[in-house]
Formats: sequence, structure tokens, C-alpha cells
Amino acid sequence: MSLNRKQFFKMGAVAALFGFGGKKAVQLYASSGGGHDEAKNKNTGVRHAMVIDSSKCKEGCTKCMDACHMAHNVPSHSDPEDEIKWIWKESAHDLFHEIDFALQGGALTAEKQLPTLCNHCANPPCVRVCPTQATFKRKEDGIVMMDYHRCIGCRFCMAGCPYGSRSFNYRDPREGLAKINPKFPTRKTGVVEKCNFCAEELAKGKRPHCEGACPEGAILFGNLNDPDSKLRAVLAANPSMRRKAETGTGPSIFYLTNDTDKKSKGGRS
Amino acid sequence: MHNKTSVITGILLFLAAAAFPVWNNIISPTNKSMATNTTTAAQNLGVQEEGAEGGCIEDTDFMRQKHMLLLHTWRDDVVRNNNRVYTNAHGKTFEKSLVNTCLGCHEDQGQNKSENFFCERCHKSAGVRIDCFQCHTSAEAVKMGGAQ
Repeated sequence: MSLNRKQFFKMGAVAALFGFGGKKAVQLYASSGGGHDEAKNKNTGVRHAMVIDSSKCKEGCTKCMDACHMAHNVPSHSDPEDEIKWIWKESAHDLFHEIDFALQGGALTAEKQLPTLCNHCANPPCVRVCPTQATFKRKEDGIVMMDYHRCIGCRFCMAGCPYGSRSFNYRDPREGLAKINPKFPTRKTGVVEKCNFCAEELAKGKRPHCEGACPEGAILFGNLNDPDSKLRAVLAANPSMRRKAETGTGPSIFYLTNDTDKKSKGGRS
Repeated sequence: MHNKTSVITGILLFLAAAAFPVWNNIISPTNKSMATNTTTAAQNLGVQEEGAEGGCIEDTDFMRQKHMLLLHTWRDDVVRNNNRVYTNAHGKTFEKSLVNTCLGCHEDQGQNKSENFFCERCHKSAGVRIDCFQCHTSAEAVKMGGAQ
């Protein structure tokens, strides 16, 4: 097929018409992300968040993990490559590898093992990349939730999450469960799973299992958007860090770095 | 056309054979309507039919025809909309939960053997595969997990 000059200009005109009608690629991307400025993108309702007190968390204790895993049927497989993680412990160095703890860690040392979980980000990358909307952010309380019925196991969310908070079921999870809690579903092979901030407990007016299971009171759950909440009082009184906040995800898990026992103000009863 | 009579007879015989399910349903005395059909099937399978009066969330006819729609609505309500309370036609409220509400009554039938399990009895007979219990836990699944 050969074009003469006139046909070429006609085709150009039609193509330009389509161009004006459509959205710029830049606008499309901008609308999906909502920008990276957390302060500007605040939701006005409830925003559930958690404070983990590094000085209170005891070495070798796994009570928060045990309670969570028992309640949510989180399996423990023998091969670490099949590991399913809802709440787990990592060293402070691995959680905050950009921090030199010898210089600026305060009471917190690099070797200290601390619990970590899904950050229930204000601007969650896993939600943005999910092609089926199986992962979504609840508008009313900011929990990043998963609809396992919709998950197709593409693992984009695992690539998107900068915290490693998502795990893929390579094996049947029931193989790794010594005991099944019949009140909560298990997952099946081929879906991704993660912490749900105990949405099923919150619906009953209760609080997350990990908070309740901690004998030291190292975990505090609360509403970050409520200026009068205990959580905000603790955050106001103590220096805290969030994991990879500079990526713009707006994580909702805060780590206290000082020794809270040495201070009286802002302490938790 | 050659062999007109045999060709047309052949076509008619083929159509009659292909339409067997349709005319068999019409002339069969036991399958007068869908309602009686499922009732007979349910009775043959020994399925519990108490209806809303007997404690079920809705009446037997409703459950028989719309339980799958109801469960799908519940699923989206609970997971996506955080709406966990169901109010039935009689104003009674129930937790929207397959395991905690439905199986609370329906699990005990059939001695907990998976082939006798309430849902499976009809679904097997009807040839409908359900995958609810790959994740949701019946007492049978709990047993298989080596628990309790």
C-alpha cells in the first residue's frame, strides 16, 4: 500500500483527534498513585496504626507471632522458601538497613530482633499493582485487605511491597498446620497472603491478637488520625522510626527507638 | 434429492433423539416442575428442610434456589464492604459466615464423612464442583489437619 501526500495528512488528522480526546499517559499514572506526599493525601476518617516499642520487646519471645498464626491459620513449612509471614521478627539492622545503629540508634542496637508486619500503607504499592483488585485499601479505616477469592496468584504485589510483607502459598497451607482454627479460613495453593490487622476482630469491637498477646505491652494499636488517642500521645512523647517511609508508601507501623522505661512522661499504663 | 424418505426420516429420528432431555422432562410424571424436582431429590438425599421456622436463615424454597447467590453476596459484603450482619425476611439477624452460621447446623448431618457432608450431597448428585472448602474449614477439614 502506498500513501499519497493527501492521504497521509488525513490519517494524521484522525490520529490527532484521538490524541486530544484521550488522557495523557502522565495523567493516567498520576491518578493511579495519588502522589507521594503522605501529609497531602491524608484520609480524614480512622487510620489504624501500630507502635512497636523496641525497648520492651523481649529477645526470644514469639508470643505475638504465635497468637497471630494460631488465629489466622498461618502455616509453618519446613522449607524456609515456603515460609508464610504475617508477623515475624527481623533484626533492627534488617528492618532499618539505612540506619547506622552504632551512631544514631540510641538505645536500639542493630542486632535487636523486632516484630514486623504489613505496614498498612497510606499509599500502598501492592494495591496499585494488583490487576484484579484482590488487594484493596479499606476507605473507612485504612486497612490494606486481601480478597483471597479474587487473587490469581500473579505475585505483582510481592514485587511491589518494599517490606516483604506478602507471602505466596507454594504449598498447600494445610500441610503446615498442626491445628486448624475453624473460625478462620485457611488459604490454598496459589494465592498470596498477608496480615489483615485482625479485621475480623476489629469487626467484633476487639483489638489485634498480637497486641493482646504481648506480655510486655510492647505493641500498641490505635487510630493515627485521632489526636487524642494513646497512640498519638506515645508518638508525641518518643522518637520513632518507620520502615522506608522515604519511598512514599506512608507506613502505619512505628518503632520507638529509645528506652521507654527510663522516661516517665508519655509512658503507657 | 435421492432417497428422500430415508433422509427425512433420519433427520427426524436424530432430532427426536437430540431433544430427549426436553421431552423426557415434559412427559416424565415425577418431574412436573423444578420445585417438586428438587424436593424429591432433596428427600432422596436426606437433606434437612426446616426453613426459617426451623432456625434456618431463610425459607427452604429460597435457600434451594438462591443459596449460591446469597453466599456470593455475603462473601463480597464481608470481605470488601465490612458488612457482617444479615437480616432475613422475618427480621432475624445472623452473622454472614459460611462456617460460623451455615455449618453451625448443617455440618452435623451425615457423620462428618466428606461424601456425606451436607453441601457435597447435593452438589455431587448435581455434578456441581464447589471449592469453598479448599479454604473455609468444615469439621472434616479440621480433622484432616490433625486437630481437635
